[in-house]
Amino acid sequence: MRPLRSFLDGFRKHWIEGVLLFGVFAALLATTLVFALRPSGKADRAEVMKGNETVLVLPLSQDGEWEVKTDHGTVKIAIKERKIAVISSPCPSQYCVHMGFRDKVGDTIVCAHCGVSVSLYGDAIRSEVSL
Amino acid sequence: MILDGYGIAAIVLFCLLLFPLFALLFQGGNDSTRRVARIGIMLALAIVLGIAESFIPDFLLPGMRIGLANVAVIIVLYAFGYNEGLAVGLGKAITVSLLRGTLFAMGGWMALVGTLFSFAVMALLKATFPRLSVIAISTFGSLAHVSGQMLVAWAYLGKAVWGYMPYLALMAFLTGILVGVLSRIILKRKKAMAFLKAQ
Repeated sequence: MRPLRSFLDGFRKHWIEGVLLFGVFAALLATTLVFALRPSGKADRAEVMKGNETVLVLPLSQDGEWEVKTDHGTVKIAIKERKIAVISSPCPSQYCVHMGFRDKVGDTIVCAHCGVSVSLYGDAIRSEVSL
Repeated sequence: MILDGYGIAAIVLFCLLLFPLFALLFQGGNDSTRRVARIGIMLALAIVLGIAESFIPDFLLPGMRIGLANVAVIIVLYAFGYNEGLAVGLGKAITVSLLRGTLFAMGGWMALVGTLFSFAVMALLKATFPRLSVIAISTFGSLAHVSGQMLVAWAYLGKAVWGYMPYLALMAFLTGILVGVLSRIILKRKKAMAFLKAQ
C-alpha cells in the first residue's frame, strides 16, 4: 500500500500540475485522434521530394516503379492499384518500407535516412514531372 | 574503421567542442575534483544509455526513443545546477552522434537542437516555477525536444514531416512522463543523492 499512499500524497501536493498535465495529454490525444481519423478521400497523385526539392509528381492511376537516387543509395517507389509505397531503401530501419502501400489524402511516407518523402494529394491532377 | 582525413577532423572538432562544455563545469572555482568526477560519471552514463538505446529497433514511429539518457541530464540539473546540466546534455548529444556516425548529418543536428530546446524549457520552468515537479518538467522538456527535432527534420525533408508531429508529440508526452518518474525515483533516493552531492 506504500507506493499507492506515496502516489496519493504526491497527487495532493501537485494536483494543479496533475490537472495541467492531464489537460495537455487530452489535447494531444484529441489532436492525434482527429488527425488519424480525419475523413480523407482517396489520393490521386503523389509528390516525391528529396530534401526540400520535388523530384517526382506521380499520378496514382499509372502503375510502375521509380527510383530516386540519393547520397545514401537508391530509394525505389512503386505504384500498384492506385496505391503507392517505398518498396526498397538502403536505410537501416526500413521503417519507410514497412509502412506499405498508402492511398489516403494527407498520408506521408518519410525515409529520414535518405532524405526522401512521399506525400499524397487529392485534388485535380497535374502532369507528371520527372526532374 | 579507416580513420581518414574527415575522421581525424571530426575527432579534433569534437575535442574542441567539448572544451567550452568543460570550461562551464570548472568555472566559479568551487568545484572539487570529486564533484567534477561525479559529473563525468553522469555524462558517461548518459552516453552509454544513449548508445544502448540506439540499438533498440524503432517501434511505433521512425526514430522514436524513450530518451533514457535524459534521466542522467535531469539528475545533473537537479543535483548540480544549470551549467552542469547543459554540459552533460550537450556532451551526451555530441558524443552519441559522433559514435553513431551522425554528427553533422540530420540525425546529429536533430539530437543537438532537440537537446538545446529541451534543456532551455526545463531550465526555464525550473527557474520560473520552483514547485513544479520533476515529472512535469521532464514532460515539457520532452515535448520541447521533439519540437526542436521536427524543426530540423522540416529544414532537411520539407513539409511532409509535419504529418508525424501529432503522433510524435503524443509519444513524447508519454516518454517524458516515464523519464520524469524514473528521475523522481532516483532523486528521492537519499543514498544516491548523497553520493552525487558529497564534496
